[in-house]
Amino acid sequence: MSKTINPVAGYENQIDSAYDHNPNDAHHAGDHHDEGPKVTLGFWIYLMSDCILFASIFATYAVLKGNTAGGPNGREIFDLPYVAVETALLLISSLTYGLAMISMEANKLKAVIGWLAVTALCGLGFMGMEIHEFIKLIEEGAGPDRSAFLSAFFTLVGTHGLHVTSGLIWMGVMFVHLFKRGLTPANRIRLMSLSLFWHFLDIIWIGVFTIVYLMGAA
Amino acid sequence: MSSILRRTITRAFFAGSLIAGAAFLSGCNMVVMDPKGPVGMQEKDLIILATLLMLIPVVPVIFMTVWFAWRYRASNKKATYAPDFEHSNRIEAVVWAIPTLIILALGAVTWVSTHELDPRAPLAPHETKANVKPIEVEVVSLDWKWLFIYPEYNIATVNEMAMPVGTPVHFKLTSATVMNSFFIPQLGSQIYTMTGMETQLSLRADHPGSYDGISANYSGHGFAGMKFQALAMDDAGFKAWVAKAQASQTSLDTAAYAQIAKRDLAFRPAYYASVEPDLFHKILNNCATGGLCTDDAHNMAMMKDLAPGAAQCKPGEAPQVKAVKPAVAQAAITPQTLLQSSGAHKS
Amino acid sequence: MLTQAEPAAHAASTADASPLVEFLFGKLRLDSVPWHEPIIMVAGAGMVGGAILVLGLITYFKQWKYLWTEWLTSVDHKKIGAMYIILALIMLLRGFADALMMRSQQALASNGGAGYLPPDHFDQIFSAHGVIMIFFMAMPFVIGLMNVVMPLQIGARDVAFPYLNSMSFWLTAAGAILINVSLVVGEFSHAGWLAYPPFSELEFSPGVGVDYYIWALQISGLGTLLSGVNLITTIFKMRAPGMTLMRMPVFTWTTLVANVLIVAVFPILTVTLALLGADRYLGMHFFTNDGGGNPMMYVNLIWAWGHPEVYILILPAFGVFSEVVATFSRKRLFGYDGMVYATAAIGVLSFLVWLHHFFTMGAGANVNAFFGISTMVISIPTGVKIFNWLFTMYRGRIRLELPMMWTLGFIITFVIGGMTGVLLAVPGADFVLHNSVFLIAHFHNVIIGGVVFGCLAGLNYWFPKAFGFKLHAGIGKVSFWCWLIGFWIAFLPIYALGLMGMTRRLDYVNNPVWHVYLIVALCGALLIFVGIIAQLVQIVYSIWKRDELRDLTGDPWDGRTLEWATSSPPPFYNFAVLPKIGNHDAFWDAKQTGTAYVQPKAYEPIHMPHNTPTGFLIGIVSAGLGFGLVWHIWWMASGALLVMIGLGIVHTFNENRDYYVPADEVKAIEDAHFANLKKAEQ
Repeated sequence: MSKTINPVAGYENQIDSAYDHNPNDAHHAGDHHDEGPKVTLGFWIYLMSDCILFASIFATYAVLKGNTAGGPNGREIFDLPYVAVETALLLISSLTYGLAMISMEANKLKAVIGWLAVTALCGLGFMGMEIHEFIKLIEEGAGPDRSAFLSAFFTLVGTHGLHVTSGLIWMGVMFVHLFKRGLTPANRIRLMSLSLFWHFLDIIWIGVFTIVYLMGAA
Repeated sequence: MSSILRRTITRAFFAGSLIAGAAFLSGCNMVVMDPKGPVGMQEKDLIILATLLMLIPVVPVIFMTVWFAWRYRASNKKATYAPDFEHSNRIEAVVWAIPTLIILALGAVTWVSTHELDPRAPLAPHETKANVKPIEVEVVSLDWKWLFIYPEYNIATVNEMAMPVGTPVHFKLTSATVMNSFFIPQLGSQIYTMTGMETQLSLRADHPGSYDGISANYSGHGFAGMKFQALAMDDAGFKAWVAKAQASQTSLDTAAYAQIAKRDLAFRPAYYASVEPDLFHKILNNCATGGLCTDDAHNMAMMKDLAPGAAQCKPGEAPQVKAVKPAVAQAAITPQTLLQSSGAHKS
Repeated sequence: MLTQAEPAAHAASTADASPLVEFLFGKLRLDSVPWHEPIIMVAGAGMVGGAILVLGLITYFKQWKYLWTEWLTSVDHKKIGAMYIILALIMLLRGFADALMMRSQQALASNGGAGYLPPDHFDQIFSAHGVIMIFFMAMPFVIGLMNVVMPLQIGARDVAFPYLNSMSFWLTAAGAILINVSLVVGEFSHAGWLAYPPFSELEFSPGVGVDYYIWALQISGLGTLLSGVNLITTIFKMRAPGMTLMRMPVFTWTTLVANVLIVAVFPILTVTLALLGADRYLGMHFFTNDGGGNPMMYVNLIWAWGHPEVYILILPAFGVFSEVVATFSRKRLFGYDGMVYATAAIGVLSFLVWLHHFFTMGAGANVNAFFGISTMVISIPTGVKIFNWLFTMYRGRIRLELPMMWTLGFIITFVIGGMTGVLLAVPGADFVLHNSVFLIAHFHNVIIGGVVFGCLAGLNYWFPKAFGFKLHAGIGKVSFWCWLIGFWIAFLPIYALGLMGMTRRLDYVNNPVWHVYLIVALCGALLIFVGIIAQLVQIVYSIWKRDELRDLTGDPWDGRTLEWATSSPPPFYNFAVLPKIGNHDAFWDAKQTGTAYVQPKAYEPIHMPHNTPTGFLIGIVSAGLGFGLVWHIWWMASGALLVMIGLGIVHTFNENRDYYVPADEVKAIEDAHFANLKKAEQ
């Protein structure tokens, strides 16, 4: 009989040493003390799938970029300075969210709420500018039904915008949670996840800004 | 593929089919296994070769499944019982090696045959007609019928086409509706027809006959009836067929095209004595019944890119700069572009 | 001759509606229900009648409270898994009814007759058949098995996110509800199971069928994606002490790889369908014939999802066979490491083959050859798996119980399907076989022979674990032989018809030579139907005779992996004490060393999640969202969406999500189990 056939006894010591110095883990694997790592991993996996979602839309945009069907192309409709302001707003919001997280680490509830509010304002500003850009384009006859290029443009930028909107709704709920219970472990996990989400959207936007606006207007 | 290889394969096939049940596979209705042209011949050989190669592991596996299940049944106490036998370098090397070797062999065959059978690759005429030029046929799939245009003869037909035996036919295909697949099973390869895209295919019939042509890709309500006859005739017969079309009273102008482009079934073949110039090109560019052609729009966009505001091209007007076909230019990361850069079309 | 009159009639009926009617009902009108179609009306009446009967029985036996607390609001992975499988079996019946209608229509309409189905109805049937069998039969069955078994196999007490799990299931169920509603209210898509544009665009499919398709798949697809996130996290974070990745049972491994594939490719499906929806709802031009759209892109995108999807289905089935073969050969699985590497290799390679679904689109020879060869390469790890199963049987003590019979049937059937698959992977051969019924026979060969046989093997294997009693073997064998023989009678003629040049999706064929083959195929389908009925009878009969089939030990098959270490059915907390693992055959080893049935002296309180109705409610409301979107009833769609978001937000304020099971309660349950074990010994 091979050695592996007698594993329960054989590995006992090893397992004990590996697991027993943290009694919480050893005795309650499903305990809320270790909800955090689970949620974080789960949220990362979700973000990766979201990444593929955006990758698919980016690929679609790349394929359809030249299909203007007699309509305007990127250079004719993109207003780079305007989009630069938009971008700045979103980048600043990422910074302020980072400051909120630092405040969370320092257990300063009011600072967390404050920075979160600044983040939300930046996000709202970003969304306002985006909606304004969309309305302007549609009024000019460059709506999503004009050509495949514009369909792809509106869908890519709009999907990012929908994500930002969800982030803002989440932030709104987050305020209530923070006011109600403060920096509880559950709320810390939520803040952490929202932070991942928000920075992720920032990264996606950098891709949008580069590939759609900078390369489209060049 | 060389004829020696083909003969070997054929012989092996006969041997194999005896085992696999000859009656089932060699039935005279198997049109795919009874091709009438070189493309179909080669594809038939490929099917047989791949089947035989795969039978090398498949037959032993089936045999071993039954044998092991019987030999090592729980009630058979005489059989060896080795409950911890879970690893053997030798067996594992073999089970990785056998499939790998077979796939290596089949992969090589695949690489070569795929290039030989590339639907864009030109096809040589039959050896009896050494210097004959291929016949050009433009094919358009409509709801639910097939339009054939013979630009060299300025004729068009619906649901019936003809070709001289031994002469290769070069098809250029597109669709004026949804995606279809142009397929004459007894001659070989099918190819998709798609709006705004041009696909190509070369076929040759080496035996006279009337072959069924179908759409192999579902296209809606009238799909099951979307059939045509492909007539392979001797040169004289083909000439007579062309003359018959030329003698037709109707011609395929824009109005006549608009009529046949309507969504309905047309079982009866129709012949047109003349064809509107550039009709295929216009169908391909979505302007056969009026409107701005896709390639013109594309050229306008190109000109805008070159000199913003300089696009003077009006709808319907012939563009000054002839750009690449939009079908290809649009499809940035689709197979078509990959194929553009591959540049490996064997002749 | 015929034109598509139906969309025109539809347009007429919505044109003269008052704004109020338009607001309240969108495009929905009384004549949206096809009253004049007797087949649909009978089927619809059957469905509604069945539902009323079930609801009536629940009311009569006063089981609403039980149903609500124990099932609808349950977050227990075993119950959610069981509900997935029940859904799969119901949808199997629906999908198979479609199959029988297709087979009989072609048999009738191949000898000069017109059959009994008009083309528009036939087209809906084959579309519904494909969609239902893949998305609402195979997927729920596989996910159900993963849900029931995987946490038990890794020694976990539930999945990582139990509430999310409940929501995933109910979203899937909502998609299934939408598809079934489409049978009676309006129409289903007639664009095939993948709805290729431009055919699925408004220009060619103006009815609501494609919209039903889009929203049913979007809603259930979201559920599948969330389930993928959940199960991956469970495997990475909740394995019992000592269970390293290379000590996980093979079924858990295949679950992991399948779920990684789910997370990686379902977003592509979401995007693809969303873009098609954008074309249809917002007039965009992604895949239209005009406006610069590119339908080829849809075909690429949908298969970038579609091919990995095939492996999402087949890999867990491979996992089932790996467990079954080792258990019923009473032998360690041969080449465990090779199995794991082969699984991972298949997962990776599945991303590199999508173009083989459209070799005939005119790509260049280099591209076609690359994808052809990469497809063949997949057969290497697959072949290794098959050899490993064979060498597991080699020098074993094989018991021909039902799960093992399914496995043997699988190996023999599947290798032939694999052979025809490699054939189709050669572009040159595919040029004549593509879109023919040869292709149909091939993928039914691998999906029935692989996925369905795997699911039924799994059902017979793990049923006693989930419910505490075995399934009746005799009736199960009837089902097995009907399936196996029926499959070959049904699909050998179809293979032959493919070589005769018969194309798929024909509503009539009018070829007297083909007639006899189609008759034989119909007979095969009817035999499979007997097999399905026998399967259901087996379940019902076994429930009736459950006391005779009772499993007291929790280990009815002399199993090897952890799920057999607990009682059947397992207590809601699965394991009173988390086992410690040193090997992928942990429970077998424990039995060998005599540590398997030692009762601990004391128990500790166990931390468990509370049930919640939120998942159920969100799922049901999402069906309303889908229905509103299909019929352009905007108040319903937006209202449902707001309610769903609201429910989700309210749930975050629920702080009372978990509780401790007192040690005394654990002890009482475990004492009962050990008493049963003693009883079983006598």
